[in-house]
Amino acid sequence: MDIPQADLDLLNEKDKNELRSFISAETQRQRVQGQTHALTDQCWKKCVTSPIKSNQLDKNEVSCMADCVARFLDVNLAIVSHVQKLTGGGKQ
Amino acid sequence: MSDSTSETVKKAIIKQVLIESQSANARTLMEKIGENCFNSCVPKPGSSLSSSEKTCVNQCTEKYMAAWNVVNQTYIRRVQQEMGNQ
Repeated sequence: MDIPQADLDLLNEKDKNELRSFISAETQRQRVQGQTHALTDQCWKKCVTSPIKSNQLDKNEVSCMADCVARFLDVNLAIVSHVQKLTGGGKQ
Repeated sequence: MSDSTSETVKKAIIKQVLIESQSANARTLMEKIGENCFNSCVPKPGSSLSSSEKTCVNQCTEKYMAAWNVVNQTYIRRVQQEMGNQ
């Protein structure tokens, strides 16, 4: 980071608040991108199994990728709710 | 930077953060393409990269980026749906 402390001291409250919201939106965007990298990696391995003959996904591969993402997230939710049950936590 | 103001400092920080997050994203994407396309296109490494392997790597690179976009859109749509359900 090449922004000197003297410059940071110049920030007024309004700009500090703008920076806070920018950083939190950017952090969120980074999380989504990170999750996208992990899911693309996993689902590519499951869905792109035949030799690559084109620079595009075929119809089956597109729907396989989309299903793979959706089912991965279903599994996540199922695990969270099961663990909540096991530990007696969760709401109601 | 003697003529810095709150505004110019803010803009400089935003610019720096965007540069860093974009380069981190690009670096990860390149790593993943490298791993997956190496596996897909060069199952048995020979003494040199054949022209059909090179073609495969080029196609695979574009295809992987297309797959990334499909996953990103599906993921974002799902997250938005779930936030709507709460």
